[in-house]
Amino acid sequence: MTRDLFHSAPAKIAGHLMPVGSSRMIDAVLHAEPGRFRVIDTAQALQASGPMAQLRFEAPIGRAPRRLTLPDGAVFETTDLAAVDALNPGRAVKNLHQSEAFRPRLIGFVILAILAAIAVWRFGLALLVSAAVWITPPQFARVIDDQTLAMFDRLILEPTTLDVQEQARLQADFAALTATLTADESHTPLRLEFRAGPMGPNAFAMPGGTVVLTDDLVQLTDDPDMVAGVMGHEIGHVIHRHSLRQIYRALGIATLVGFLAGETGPILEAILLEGNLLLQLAYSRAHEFEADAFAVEITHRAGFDPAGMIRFFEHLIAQGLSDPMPSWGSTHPPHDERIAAIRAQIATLPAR
Amino acid sequence: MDDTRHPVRFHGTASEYFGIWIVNLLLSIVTIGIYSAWAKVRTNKYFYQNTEIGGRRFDYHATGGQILIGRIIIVLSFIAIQILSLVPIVLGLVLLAFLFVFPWLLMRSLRFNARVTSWSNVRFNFHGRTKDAFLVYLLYPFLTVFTLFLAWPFADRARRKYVLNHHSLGQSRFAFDSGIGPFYGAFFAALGVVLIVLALSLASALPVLTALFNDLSLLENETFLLGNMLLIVKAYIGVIAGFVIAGIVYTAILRNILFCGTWIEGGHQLRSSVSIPRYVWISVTNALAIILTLGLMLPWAKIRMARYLADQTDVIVNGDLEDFVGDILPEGGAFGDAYTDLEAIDMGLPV
Repeated sequence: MTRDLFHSAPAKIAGHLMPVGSSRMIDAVLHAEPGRFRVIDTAQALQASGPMAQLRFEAPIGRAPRRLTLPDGAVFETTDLAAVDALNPGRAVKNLHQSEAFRPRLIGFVILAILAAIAVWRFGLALLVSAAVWITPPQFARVIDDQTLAMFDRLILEPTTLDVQEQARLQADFAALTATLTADESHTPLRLEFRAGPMGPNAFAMPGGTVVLTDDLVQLTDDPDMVAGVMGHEIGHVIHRHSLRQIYRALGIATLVGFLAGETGPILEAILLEGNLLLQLAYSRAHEFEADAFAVEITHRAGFDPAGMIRFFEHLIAQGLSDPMPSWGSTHPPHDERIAAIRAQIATLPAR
Repeated sequence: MDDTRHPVRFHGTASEYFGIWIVNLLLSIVTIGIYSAWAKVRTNKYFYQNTEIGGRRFDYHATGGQILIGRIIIVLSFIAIQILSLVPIVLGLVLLAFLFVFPWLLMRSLRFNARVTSWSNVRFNFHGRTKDAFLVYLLYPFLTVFTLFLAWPFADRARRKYVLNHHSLGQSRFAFDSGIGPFYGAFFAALGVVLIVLALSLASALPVLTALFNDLSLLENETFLLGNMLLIVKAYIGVIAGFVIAGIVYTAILRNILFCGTWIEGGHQLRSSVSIPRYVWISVTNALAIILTLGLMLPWAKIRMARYLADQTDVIVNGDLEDFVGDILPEGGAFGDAYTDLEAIDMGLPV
């Protein structure tokens, strides 16, 4: 590559020299001769000289003045872009600079970038979310649980009014369910909490493994298989780490955009974070089906009747009640769709 | 001595930066993020080299390799901590260590960014210490909690003082001082925006809220909830928007305070005359343009903002621009910078 330099014609480039160690700026001309350079100021004094091979060419960017670093760290700067680019031996940086030029060719890059961005959205994000879930210590998720529950306790929830024996019976059922978890599934320690509150029959799971049942839900029925189904559903959310995944998906989109596209400003950052979080929470149909399937599986394993789930939904329909298992205001699939899916799954279960 | 006013000039153009941006984006995705280190360097170089004061330009000297190594160190540390924290006692230790490591990383980030930035071939430097970073980034903000955040302007002024007072251009130190009044002015302006927006969202949601207050069982009534879902979502968006606009107003006011209160050794001063309505307008229309073009107008928006900010900035030079004396300093590792990048902490010196 340096061979080009020795063959290039002598050039005189006007600009200014910025010596090392001060903000001084000297009007000067760079004489580039085969193999050697000299910097001469307006008083015709020689300011610097040396072999061409020791001139360091800064990568050209747009139409910003070109910069050449001299062996002693001084910088020669010039607006004679063409002259410097002709001398610059760096082929790769020149190709990069060429490809960035605002020409029709850029449309191709735009299309490629859009396609690549879609690929990242479809596949990269899932990978990133899995990695983030993997590096989250269970203790950290438990902290989220404790804080959220404490907030709910202050705002809306009240202490349970269930008697001690009933609580113990439910805890035993819960323990029977969690005892059947495989090694793969027991990544998060689970606990069951009871609360009373104005929201009627309700159950929810938090990322750190906390499952909450309301008194109204427990008192809805005497059928332990029904309640076991609800517990199984909530355990399913924890085992599949649904809420953690949703939080990370929203964070991941904001991070990816920040890393790939650069700073977007405060408004877009808020939209990317908050807006996505809202969207993520709404988009959980798939998660509900997954949790239902898990409930069927685990109740069967623990010796409960998985059809309790079906009876539970039928009971709700009969009572004209809305869905008691909304996870954070999500949109749930309708009862009959879920019943059909559960029935189909039960048909495939091996007999005990 | 005679004072000369030098405007800050920004020479970047949207079309030119668009090419750089889209190539950066494409290469970053194709190389699964590795090129983003070089992309960062190229973007910073473009903006710095196109910013000029008195015919002299800024430059950014970090290399893609430096940035990448910094990022790898930080990511590996995250993974190592994750594995270590499987032992419960270690997790406590890690959290404790973080109290010391966090300010140290911020200090290193400020130092790295200062030392890889130059103006007229003189490098900036940052002299701040970890101990003070701990005070201004962790302790003071934490203490404001006990004042219901009413002492926030004091904590913020301490932080800005830490950042500005420890910067230097070559050997010329920066000095920033300001009474607490302007900081409270910015704080209450931002608070005012939040309160106005809160009041507006509350007013629009009032009928629903009163209905709910009178009859809590409506929470179980699906038709009622669905019917008012849009209103609830709107109120939520309104509140978020209020906080974001308040943040923008605060940034604009503070920029003027910070610049006008800063002296550079030798009797040089900075001036900023950002208009708050104009700054909010540019921020909002920029965001709209980016959304409506699915991101393609992002380069245009960044150039537009950079040009506006440069146009509103002056340097009053006492004597000569030639008199800054530089030092040659080791830059140190880029891990602090990588950390603030990953955590999206803005460490930018408002130059």
